[in-house]
Amino acid sequence: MNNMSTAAPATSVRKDSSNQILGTQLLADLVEVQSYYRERRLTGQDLSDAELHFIVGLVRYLFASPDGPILERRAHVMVIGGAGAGKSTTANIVVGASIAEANAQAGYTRHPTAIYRPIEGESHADWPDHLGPLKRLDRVEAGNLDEDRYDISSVVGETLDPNFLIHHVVWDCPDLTAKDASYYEARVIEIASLADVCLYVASDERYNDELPTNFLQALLEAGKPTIVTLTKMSPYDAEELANLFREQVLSRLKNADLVKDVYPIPMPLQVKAQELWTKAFPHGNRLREMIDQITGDLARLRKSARQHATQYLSTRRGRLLDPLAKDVGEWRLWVEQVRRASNTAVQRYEREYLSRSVFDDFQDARDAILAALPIPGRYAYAWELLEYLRVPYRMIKSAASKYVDRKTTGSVDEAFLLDRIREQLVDSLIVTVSGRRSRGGFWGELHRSLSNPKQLRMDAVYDDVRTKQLRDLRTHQRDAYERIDVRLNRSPSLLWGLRVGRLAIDAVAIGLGVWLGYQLFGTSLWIIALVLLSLGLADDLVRILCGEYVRREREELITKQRENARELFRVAYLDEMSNLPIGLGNRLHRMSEILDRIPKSISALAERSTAEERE
Amino acid sequence: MSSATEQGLIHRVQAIRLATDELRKWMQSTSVLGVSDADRDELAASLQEIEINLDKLEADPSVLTVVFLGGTGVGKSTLLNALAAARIASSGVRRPTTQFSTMYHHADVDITALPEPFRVCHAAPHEHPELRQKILIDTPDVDGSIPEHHERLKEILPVADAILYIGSAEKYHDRAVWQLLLEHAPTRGFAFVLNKWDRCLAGRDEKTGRAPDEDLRRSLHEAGFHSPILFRICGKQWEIKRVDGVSELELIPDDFLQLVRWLESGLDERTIRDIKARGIANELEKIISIVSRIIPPEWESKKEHLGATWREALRAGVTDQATLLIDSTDRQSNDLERHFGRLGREGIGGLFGIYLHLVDRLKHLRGALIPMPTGEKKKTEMQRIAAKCVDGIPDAVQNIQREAMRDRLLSLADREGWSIDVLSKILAEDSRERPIAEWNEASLARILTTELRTLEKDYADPRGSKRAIHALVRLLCTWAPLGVLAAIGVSLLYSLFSFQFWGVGEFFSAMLLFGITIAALHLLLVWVFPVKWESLREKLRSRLEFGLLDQVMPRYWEALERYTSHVMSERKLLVNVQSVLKTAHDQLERTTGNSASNLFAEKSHQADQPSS
Ligand SMILES: Nc1nc2c(ncn2[C@@H]2O[C@H](COP(=O)(O)OP(=O)(O)OP(=O)(O)O)[C@@H](O)[C@H]2O)c(=O)[nH]1
Ligand SMILES: Nc1nc2c(ncn2[C@@H]2O[C@H](COP(=O)(O)OP(=O)(O)OP(=O)(O)O)[C@@H](O)[C@H]2O)c(=O)[nH]1
Ligand SMILES: [Mg+2]
Ligand SMILES: [Mg+2]
Repeated sequence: MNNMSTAAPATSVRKDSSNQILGTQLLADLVEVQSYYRERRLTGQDLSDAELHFIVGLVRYLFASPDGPILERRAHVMVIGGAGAGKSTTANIVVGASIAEANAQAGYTRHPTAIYRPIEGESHADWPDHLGPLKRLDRVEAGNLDEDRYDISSVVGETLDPNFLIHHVVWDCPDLTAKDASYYEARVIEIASLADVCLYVASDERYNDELPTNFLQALLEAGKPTIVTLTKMSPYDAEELANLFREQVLSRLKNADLVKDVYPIPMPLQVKAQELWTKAFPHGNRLREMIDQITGDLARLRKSARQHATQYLSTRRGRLLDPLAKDVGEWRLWVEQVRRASNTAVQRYEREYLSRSVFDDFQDARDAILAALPIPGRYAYAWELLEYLRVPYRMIKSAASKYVDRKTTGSVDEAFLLDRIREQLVDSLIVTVSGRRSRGGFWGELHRSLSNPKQLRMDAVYDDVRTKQLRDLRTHQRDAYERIDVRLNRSPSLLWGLRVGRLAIDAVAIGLGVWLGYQLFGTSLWIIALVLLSLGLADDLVRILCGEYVRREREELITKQRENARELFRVAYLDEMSNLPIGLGNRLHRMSEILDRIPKSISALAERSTAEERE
Repeated sequence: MSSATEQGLIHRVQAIRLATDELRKWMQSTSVLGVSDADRDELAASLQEIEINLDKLEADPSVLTVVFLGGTGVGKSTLLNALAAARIASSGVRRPTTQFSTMYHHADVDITALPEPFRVCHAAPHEHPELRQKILIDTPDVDGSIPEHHERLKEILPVADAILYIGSAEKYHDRAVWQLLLEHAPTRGFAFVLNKWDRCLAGRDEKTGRAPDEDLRRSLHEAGFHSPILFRICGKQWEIKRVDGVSELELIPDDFLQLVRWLESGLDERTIRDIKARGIANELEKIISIVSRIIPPEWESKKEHLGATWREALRAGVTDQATLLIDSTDRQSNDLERHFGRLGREGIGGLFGIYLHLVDRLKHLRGALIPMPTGEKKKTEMQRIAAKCVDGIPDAVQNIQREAMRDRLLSLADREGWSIDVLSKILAEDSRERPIAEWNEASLARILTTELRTLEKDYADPRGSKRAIHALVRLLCTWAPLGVLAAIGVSLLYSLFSFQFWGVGEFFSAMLLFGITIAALHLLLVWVFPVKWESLREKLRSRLEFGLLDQVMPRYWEALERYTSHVMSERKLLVNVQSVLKTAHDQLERTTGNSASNLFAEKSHQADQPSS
């Protein structure tokens, strides 16, 4: 007990501010993962709930610790082991007084109890009101066994080594193996992740039990220095049992060098268990010495704990995230599926509606321009004359085109088509999902969500968006039409420019006809025919020009409609259906970010703690 | 056991075996019922259990198998040694000790006749007549760190009629064992030993906590054992006394001798029989409840319902498909109009015929170079046009429509609780047998040809009054121009003979008359034989819809029927099995006494207990 007189270290040794932000983020993410796994019952196969809890706890106390001086300055020693193995007895031996309740009922201790000796000014209030899920119990009350809480037992009376409890906190903990332990093992794990040193208690009957050994392994892998105490054997068997433990258990464990000692506490005949923590036996002193040796330099101890913990996190990362990755993967697959389906829907809309529809409004617009071109007023007769001259060409052309024209196919009812497309989109997804149901929970839930049309919001959202879009579109269309109209009427110079241009074209056409006719046939009636022809062609040219002008507007409209359709399917289907299965989809959206972030945080922490080690 | 009841039991065994065999066969065949994996596994496990039970009954119906169950180090082997008064099982400090099961049985029991799992046990025969009908089996542990031990235990557990649950002072309700206890409690008799009683006594004067025996009783009560048979034993001292022969040992008072008495005479013939019967009855109960869970409902009405829904959906789909086809014919309307025009002209000869021919040439300038099909070729003309139409539909569009149709039908089926997987498998099978019923390019072309032909026939060769009118018009067209021409000729001749030669005016009016006649006839022709495609297509559309529906509906209907017949035959089988098992179960219940009732856990809340 070399450092029993040294004052408790004043500086924080648990916290490290550079790591803390990272740690806090990681902790928040892990807690989210944990609650996700709980809700979805994903723990159990590859990753036990216990393991997950342990990981969360380690991050909490080593990297994100928002705790008080008691957690920081004192070394925490916990006892851990199977039911009735003698944990409470061992705690009493270490404390050197009868503090923990030891008795024959297996699985009696149900809540972790912190045994410590408060120094000047320390009180219950210095303990965090929560250790993870464990609530602090302030008053001694008839405790509810099912409540997740931790108790505090402050020792003021006589103990064999009064100083020990000033520097240390001894945690008496519940067991891991009794039939109800699955309900309260989280309490042990919380303390295990907090503890600086573990006392692993195993009786002659339990020393090679599977479950406790697995816990021991986890403790060692997470870098907890551990002392093994063996109990209940007769003094004759003590040595053999210690050897058996080394040979059968330790030899199989990773990080076995962290087991500082295997210490048998034999039970001579005619001795009562209560005598074990009296002066009559050396066990208390021996154990306290060993613990002091380990916790002498607490700062160093915790630094190395952090180092170990990052390794532990790195090796468990896969197992930790696999269930989540699987769910997120399925969800991403689903979203991709929906994306593809809604792309198909948009394509279909383009092909079957946009590329075929005739925009009557824009025929009107073109005609409006054409109608504005004739010269009004006194010189209108000139125009009339030209019109007469164009009649024969037009007649011939229309007669010819009637025979030659291929019929355009009729246009489609947009709303009807969209309904069909939507129906198909949902149908195809239902079929896909139903086929995947055998792949597991996610698809089953998805299927259930899809089969319950009352809860789906696609139609409602669709109607909303569509109504809005239609309104916009109508405005847009009217605007475009008006733009043309207004532009013509607002500026007389433009209008007159166009009119004169038009006349000029006609004039050029007549000139050209005459010239060409004269060149070809000399003075003959053919000249008239050519003039008629070129006038007609000029008219066509003007029509085409006007059409082109209008088409620009029309194309803008089509582009807008295409975009509308994309938006419609994105908002009403892609976004809505990514939120499926109901209550899970949007959650997975968030979880997918967490899934990407956790590995990064872990490797960042690992880098830092390696750097810390090198200092 | 009286031989009469034995006979009854064995007789029932046969019936149960037949039914369970059938069930097993059903499980191996492919089912359309969509049974969940959990149900399947549970059923398989129960069937295995019951099979072992039946095998045992047939081998030796009077022998009771008592299997020890407990964690490592609780003293199972020590206890067996003490009971046998011989070191037949190894016990020791090392954990876990026992690697293989040890079977302590009477030498008269023919162990070679016992079912498979017994054969992996070490056999330790004895000659105690009191234990003639009991086989005691010491087993490996459930909770040590050697997984093979747990496996071996789980191999031997199914042979147990009864289980002797052994706990120690600290290990009397550990998770690992308790789970097995709960799992087997409904189907096996249980008795309990709290071993290491000496250690329990050491904690007597502790102020807190319950004594282990009291605590164990509480736990057992929760598990449904309201008055368990519990022996508090210090096995070690009896091992020392009976095996090592240390007679002057000061014994801690315990229930060891009661245990011996219970094993020897408490477990009498009647109790053994009751344990067995109750075990089998409870196992049957499990099977029956699973089976009733997976029995499908009556399917016929579901078929009718889906059939109607499908018909509606198909009708909508057919409309889409018809629109697609009609659109495609629109694109070929020139050819079609020409063809129909020609049909109308058929049988019109003479001058008007020549005139029509010329007009046709003029009208279809682009097609003028292609010679008009005649004779045989004319018959295949429709086929050619139809193929061209269908060819003109983009593949993507066709595929989308087909998929849309399929998805619609399947999703409707899905909504009504049909298995899409099975249904699409049936449909796929069917389309391999009858590719015609698919809407592929060839069959669409075929349908279109058929319908166009019908239309053609209607058009060219109608029935009833229309026929007469057509004939009349044809006649008129052929002869009227000739008649007019003849009249003109006659009047010309007449004028020649009367030397009143025609001037330009007369000639012109004669030609005008002829022209008007031709024009009038042309109008008449167009009126009687409308060739504009727009007027023909609507007729074609409704025909196409009927044709398409006729083609596909039977096929889909048949798929529904096949599916239904699969379901119904499975249903029949399951219902049958269920009723056989129920009868057997009820008979067992009726003939089982109460002698073993405290060995079984009370059924607390079994919701799916079969009603008898
Ligand atoms: N023979 C013997 N008995 C012991 C020894 N240590 C503890 N016991 C007894 O074992 C029983 C259980 O001891 P506890 O210390 O309460 O065990 P625990 O591990 O705290 O048990 P739970 O809190 O119930 O999980 C008590 O009756 C003790 O008296 C020992 O070394 N030898
Ligand atoms: N104190 C005490 N020790 C006992 C008693 N019965 C058995 N033991 C001891 O408990 C230890 C384990 O006994 P075993 O019989 O090997 O236990 P087991 O249940 O067969 O263990 P496995 O074979 O490993 O499953 C031995 O050292 C025994 O001497 C008892 O009643 N009291
Ligand atoms: Mg305790
Ligand atoms: Mg054994």
